[in-house]
Amino acid sequence: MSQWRLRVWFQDASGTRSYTGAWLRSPNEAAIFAFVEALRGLSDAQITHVDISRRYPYTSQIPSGRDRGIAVLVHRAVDPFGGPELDAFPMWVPEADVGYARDLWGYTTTPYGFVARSGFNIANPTIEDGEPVSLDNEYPDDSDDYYLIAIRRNFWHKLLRDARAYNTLSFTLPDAQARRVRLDIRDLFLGVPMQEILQRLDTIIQLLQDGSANVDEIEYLLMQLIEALGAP
Amino acid sequence: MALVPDPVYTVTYTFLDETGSKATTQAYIRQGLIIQDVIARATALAAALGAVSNAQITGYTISRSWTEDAPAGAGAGSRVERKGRTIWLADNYKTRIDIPSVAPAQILSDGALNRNSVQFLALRAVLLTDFIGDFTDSRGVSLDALAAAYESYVRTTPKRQPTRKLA
Repeated sequence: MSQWRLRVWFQDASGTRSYTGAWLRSPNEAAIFAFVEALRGLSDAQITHVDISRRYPYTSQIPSGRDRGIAVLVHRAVDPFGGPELDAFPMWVPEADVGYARDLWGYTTTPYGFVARSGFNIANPTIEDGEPVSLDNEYPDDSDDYYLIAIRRNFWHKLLRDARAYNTLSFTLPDAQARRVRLDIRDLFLGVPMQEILQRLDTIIQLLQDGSANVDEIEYLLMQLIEALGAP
Repeated sequence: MALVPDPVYTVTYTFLDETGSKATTQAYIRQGLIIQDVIARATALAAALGAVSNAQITGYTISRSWTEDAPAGAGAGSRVERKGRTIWLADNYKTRIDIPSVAPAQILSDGALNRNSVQFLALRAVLLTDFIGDFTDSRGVSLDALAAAYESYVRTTPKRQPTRKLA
């Protein structure tokens, strides 16, 4: 999509949720907030949240090989004003093994502009401080428990067995990191957010059935589905 | 009652391997940067990911959200199936913006929305005059006129059925 898609989410008295959308040329906060306030005046449902997104196409190499597995880099995240470790940021890289993914080590850190999902800083690891380790050769110990690269071979095809291995691994990590790893395992099990896909298909069918189909709306919903399914 | 920004921009990368299997991974960029800097960081990480992965990166999505910290509460009898349907023109092409659970006070007896209400004029100003060029249709053409505004109902889907179904 070449424009920003703005969605404003509503909830009515029955607890049912719905959203309305608009297209924006840029994510201009003043325009977004003015639009939301205008809607607030016109609707008797409550506004719960607002989101905006845009997809950028990217051209990289032709895919080759399917046996590197998935690398997981776990960086620790800390309070930007100092203090205890608060979160961890695991990043899953498909089709990348230890040797390659090691090059990415330390890249997704705050000095490069990245943070954990919670917004906490991701510490830039000191060179040789906490070498990445692999399920292939050892479990992490106290000296390198923050930094982990785990490998899942054969891409998606052995998900269940390997997820158990990750789960075992998570028990060897401190609480914060272990929780993040377990959450990612849950996400792996869930895969594509099927509930969202069904919800959007439902909306499309409904639009077609009541004859109120709008090309923009249908196009947007279909693009969301395609994106959720991971197509280019 | 205010919209509180989430602390991060979320960047979701989409991968494709040679078997056609797809996967995604996410990274987070702190709020407060101008959008060009966010795009630059996301693009730089795409290049770094492409260098370590055998898979093809087909694109990435940048998203941002705000959450209402103290929702005012839905009005009694509000139902999102009752829409205020507004049709806008962008160089003669139509695009639609629905208003879920449009307030009954905005609806005239003939089913049209009251285009002269303070609230509707505010929406019209936001879309057409206050932020010229910001609001577009899906092609990126600026909205330039209002074509229609009326009450419309959509069918209740299973997900929209009330939680309580018996008296």
